[in-house]
Amino acid sequence: MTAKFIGRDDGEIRTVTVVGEVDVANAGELETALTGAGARIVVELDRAEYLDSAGLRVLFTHARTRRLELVLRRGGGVEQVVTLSGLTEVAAIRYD
Amino acid sequence: MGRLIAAKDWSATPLGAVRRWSPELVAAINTCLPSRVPMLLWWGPELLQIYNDAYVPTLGDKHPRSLGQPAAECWAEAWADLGPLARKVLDGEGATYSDNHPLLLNRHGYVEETYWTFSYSPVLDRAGEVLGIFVATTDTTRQVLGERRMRALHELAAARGAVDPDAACEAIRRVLGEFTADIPHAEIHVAAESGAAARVMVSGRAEWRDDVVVQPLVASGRPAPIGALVLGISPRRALDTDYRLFLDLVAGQVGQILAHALDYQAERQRAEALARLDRAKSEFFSNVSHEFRTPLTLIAGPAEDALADAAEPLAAGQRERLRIIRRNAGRLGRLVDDLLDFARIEAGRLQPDAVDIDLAALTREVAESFGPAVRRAGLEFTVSAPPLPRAARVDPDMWEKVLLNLLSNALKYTRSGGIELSLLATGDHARLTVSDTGVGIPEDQIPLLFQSFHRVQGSSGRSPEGTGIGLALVHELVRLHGGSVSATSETGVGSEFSVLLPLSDADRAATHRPRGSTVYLEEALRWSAPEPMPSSVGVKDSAVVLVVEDNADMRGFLLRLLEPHWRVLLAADGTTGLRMARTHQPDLVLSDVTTPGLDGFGLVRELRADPATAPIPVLVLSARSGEIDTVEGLAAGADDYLPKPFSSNELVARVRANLELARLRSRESRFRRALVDSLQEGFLVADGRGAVIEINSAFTEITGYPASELPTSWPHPWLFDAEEWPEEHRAQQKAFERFLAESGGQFRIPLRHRKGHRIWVAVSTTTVPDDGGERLFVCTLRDVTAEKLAAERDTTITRFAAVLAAATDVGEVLGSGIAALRLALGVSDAVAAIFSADGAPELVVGDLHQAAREALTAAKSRPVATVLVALSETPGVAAPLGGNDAAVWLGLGTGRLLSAEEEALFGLLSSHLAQALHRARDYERAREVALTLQHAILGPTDLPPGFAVRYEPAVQPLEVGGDWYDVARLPDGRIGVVVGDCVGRGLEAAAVMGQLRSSARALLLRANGPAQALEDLDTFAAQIPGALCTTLFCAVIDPADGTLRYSNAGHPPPVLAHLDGTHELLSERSLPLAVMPGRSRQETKAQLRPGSTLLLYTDGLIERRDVPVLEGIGAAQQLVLDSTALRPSELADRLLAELLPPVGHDDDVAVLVYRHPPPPLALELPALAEKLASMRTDLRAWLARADVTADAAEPIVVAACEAVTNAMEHGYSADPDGRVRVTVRLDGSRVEVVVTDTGRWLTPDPAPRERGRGVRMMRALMDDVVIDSGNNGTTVRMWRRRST
Repeated sequence: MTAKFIGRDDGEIRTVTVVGEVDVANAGELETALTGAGARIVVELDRAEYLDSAGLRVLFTHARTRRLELVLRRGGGVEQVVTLSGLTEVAAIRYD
Repeated sequence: MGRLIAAKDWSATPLGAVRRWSPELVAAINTCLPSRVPMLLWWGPELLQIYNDAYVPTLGDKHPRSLGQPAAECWAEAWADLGPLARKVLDGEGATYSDNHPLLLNRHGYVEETYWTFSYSPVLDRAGEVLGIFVATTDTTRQVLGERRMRALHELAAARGAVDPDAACEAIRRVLGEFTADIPHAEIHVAAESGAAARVMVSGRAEWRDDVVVQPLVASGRPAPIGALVLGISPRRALDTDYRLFLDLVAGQVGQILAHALDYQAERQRAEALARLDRAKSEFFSNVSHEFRTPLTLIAGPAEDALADAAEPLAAGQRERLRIIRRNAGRLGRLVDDLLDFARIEAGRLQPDAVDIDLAALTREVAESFGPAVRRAGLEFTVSAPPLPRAARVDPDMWEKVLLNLLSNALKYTRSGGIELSLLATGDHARLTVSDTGVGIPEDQIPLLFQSFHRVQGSSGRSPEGTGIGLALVHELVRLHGGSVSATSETGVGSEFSVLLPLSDADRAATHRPRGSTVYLEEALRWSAPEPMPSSVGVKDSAVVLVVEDNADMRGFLLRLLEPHWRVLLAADGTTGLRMARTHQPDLVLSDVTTPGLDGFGLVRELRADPATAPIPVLVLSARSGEIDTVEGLAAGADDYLPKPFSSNELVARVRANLELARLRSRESRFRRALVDSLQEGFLVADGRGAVIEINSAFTEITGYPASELPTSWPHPWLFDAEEWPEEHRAQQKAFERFLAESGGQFRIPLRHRKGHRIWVAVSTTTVPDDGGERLFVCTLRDVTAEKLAAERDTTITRFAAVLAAATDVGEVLGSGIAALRLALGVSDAVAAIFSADGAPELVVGDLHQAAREALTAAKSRPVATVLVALSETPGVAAPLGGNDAAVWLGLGTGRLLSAEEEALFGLLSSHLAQALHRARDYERAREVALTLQHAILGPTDLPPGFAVRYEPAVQPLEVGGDWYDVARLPDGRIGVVVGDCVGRGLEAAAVMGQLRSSARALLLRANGPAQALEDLDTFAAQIPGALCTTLFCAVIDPADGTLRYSNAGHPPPVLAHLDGTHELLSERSLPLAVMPGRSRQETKAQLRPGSTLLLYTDGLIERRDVPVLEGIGAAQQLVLDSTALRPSELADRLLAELLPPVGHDDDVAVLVYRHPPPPLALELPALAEKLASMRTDLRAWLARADVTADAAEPIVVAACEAVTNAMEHGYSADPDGRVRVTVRLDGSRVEVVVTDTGRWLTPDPAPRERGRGVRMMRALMDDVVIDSGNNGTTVRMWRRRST
């Protein structure tokens, strides 16, 4: 277990906080945390230490059908990966 | 550059088309192009230019035009300089080398001042013909300018000490005039309110740009700038950070120089004003003395007339009174004359009316006239003044004054034995000696004897009367005659005064009769006058009054005043007075304060100390009027005090009143009441059961409990409750137990005031038997609350100051200050903050809540020590901490108010804190400047991979130092490193360091190895004053094969640590620099292994006063061994953090760390997703060890993971037992990652858009990605630079 996913709903907004590292080994847990969300998803990645394409894949999948908002920390490796992947084109970005 | 060269049409140039280029040219280009060292190739007789990427910045906007351009055309502005050098090489004279060569280059749109270290080497063909020139260059502009600017600052610093603003400006002008290259123009404008209005053109010769820099002239200790400095900017230099810093520092220096000059000027003006005041005083003195003479004459004259009046003769009693008047008017007249003489001498207006006289005859006569006084005192008087061979040129009146002063002085201090006067010729001089067998003068007082108004302390003469002017006057009078006076003395044995006076050439002399001043004689006679006899005629009262008075006239006067009323006893000094008081038990003692022997206060103390004489009332008389005397007199226990002059009636009335009072006291019942109530101290009597039965009014005043509430039974209302006031309760309990055990004693205890607050009292208790046999307890008490608070406050302040003194930086000062404030004032809510210019908090210690923030903002711009009290919902106090941007807040919680004392204490503590903060800020600013300076000299921080360097200035004193490091990329890919340490610190050491550093670098770039470099440096250093005994370690590292060649010049041994835990010290015996120039240096080879760490350092890192050096080196060694997984920069930080003492290291430190590329990382992992996390951990550790910068490391980790994930997902989707191999290694300046699997990739990918993301990510993150996929598996190879 390299990461914690904490989800909560506030009306139709599902907020998931990611703490730790996300790779192919636990991307499924992120998926689970997002399953059944309403029209809006907020994923707080400001405390995520690592994110690879497996995690990105989950986020891209949800960005297609919902309004996705990502919370990032400036200057981290995660921000670089998110920007390079093009996820910024389909999700709203907020900095903590 | 390769592309640019390929794209250029060369056929139009003399070089011709590329395919026709000679093999030599191609080889030369191939050497030049890949190099990271700036390289330029000049080819053919026209010197056509070809250069590599690293050289492009050197060209500025000459590039790309410069490619293929003839050198003479490209460098037209400098060709007059460079052409001849190139010519020599072309002519076959071999390579050239130029060190710090100045060149004016136009490559950024303006003519720029630059400096270069460069070499031209010929490129030869097989026949030895010169085909072209290799040019290797290093831009040394920054170092050269840095050194020059250092020198400017140094010389400015030396210009301090000018004594007025004009001289200061002139000194600054002189210095700046030598540095017009950096400061072509300067103007100083001094603000008028600084004490001098000046606008000075400092230097305006050189051209400068239209723009100037205007700097405020600030100086420490001055709140506002003292003026402004206008500095022209060199048109040949861009205004970069270095230049700006330099101008800042110049302004700082100029400000200090001017401030110093202004201070000095102000000081001089003050001194002049004082001298004027002194002259005015002398003049006033002289006028006043003069004014005295008229009334004195009018007192003495009529008195004389009345005494001489034979027509209407006075009765005997009246005559006696008038004699007193005449005598004392005469004495006063003499004092005034002395003072007048003195004032005249000081003003230079008293000139001797000198005539040639028979000095011996005059001296004999004057001595004889004084004889009666000496003989009446019962002393022997010997005069020996045989005729002198020649006359002396003397003012007879003045000589008489000298003699009489010396004689009366001798008489005054001699109680038995004799006085001897002799006048003898010694060569050209007459020597007068007056010696006595008196009390003598303490040795330390002798040098002060002849100073005006100085009176010898602690000696007892016949009369303590005197102004301290006599001997000073003697000295001045003798000096006016060209003579000198001296004294020798032995305490208890006697003194001898000698006057040496030149004799005149005349052998005939007039005899001169002395003027016959009787004043001295009369005064001296009075010292041993017969006592007036008290008579017992007409006494109405049987009371006895003892008069103690040294002045005989005064004694007589008092006798006549008191005699009609009481019986009078007389004593001439304190000791006699005391003896008589004990014998006769007088009803009252009337004593002068300044009596010889035992003085008036001493007498009172003695009388009070003896129970037999303690009740006798004492009335003290003194001529010195002033509050202090009164207080001293009453404190000593005198009952009353009367200053002189007093009226006769008043004296009699006072004596009567005091006698009455004493009589009252003698009546038993009233005596106690009067005594108790007259006591300043509180008084309490309790019975055997502890019930208080009597208190006095002072007790009520102190404690608030009135006598009307008596009797008060135990427990008394002033005792503290154990629960509410546990500490005070304990203190009272302890004192009470001691009292019971000892039946009395003295205590300092807290009492509960009637109003509830705590007071402190000093209690003295005793047990006395009552008449009825019961025991009574008697206490007296004094309120010591204020003393106690003051003492506590002092302790608090001292403790506070100690806490602050230990803190060094701003954060620490505020942190400890807040903690100490909490403790001192017993509050928990304390906040200190520093605000930035826009009002946002910049540094906060404590919880900055809304109320605190508002109060702090309000307080921060107030003058220090102001206390603002906030009475809002959150009550508290705030105080500023100086600098208009810092303040401290204490929240008090509801219901608590600060007392006035606490508020004052808070103000005081906050101002201490403000001072400490000011100190810390000054310190930080100074440190910043020192660091910036050193870094300006130490140059670029752009290091090859694997290296980390640090420089840390000494804390005390904070100055730039002589330590340095250097890392130089050599043309062949090897790297030269140097760490050195110049003797001394400060700008001088820094300047020496700068020269050695650039020389060492140049030598390393040129020479054949470190030993050769050191040998050359020995020779060079021998010519630089201050370079002797510099220690340095010089090495060349080959990053490719790990060889390390080094040579040491007396420097502490570097540490080499290997990954397997073994380590070596590179310690060879060697001499410091320049000790034996010309002697050969040893060169040693060491082998770096993969992952080895090399640490170079200066002694500041390992030398501690109390720790052996080897132990210090051992500690550094251990840290290096423990830190093989840290990046070099992290290791360097750790070394400084853990090895330097937490506060105040007093030497500067340079540290250089090199990490050799570690062995490749080889991992093999099963195709299980959960293995990815641990793989990342291993990979990150390896990247740190390999000094891959953080921003390059994380992309490599992501890319490697993506590759492994792909291998797991695609290659082994059907084979969970498959294994993935990951290899990571350093490939020069790149990191290579290879991920290999042996599985079969599923093709086609079911969802290419999603699945291909991993590969896209790898390509985006890495510089280069090669994927090689086949039937036997897939290999992904990726590369990325080690640093971004």
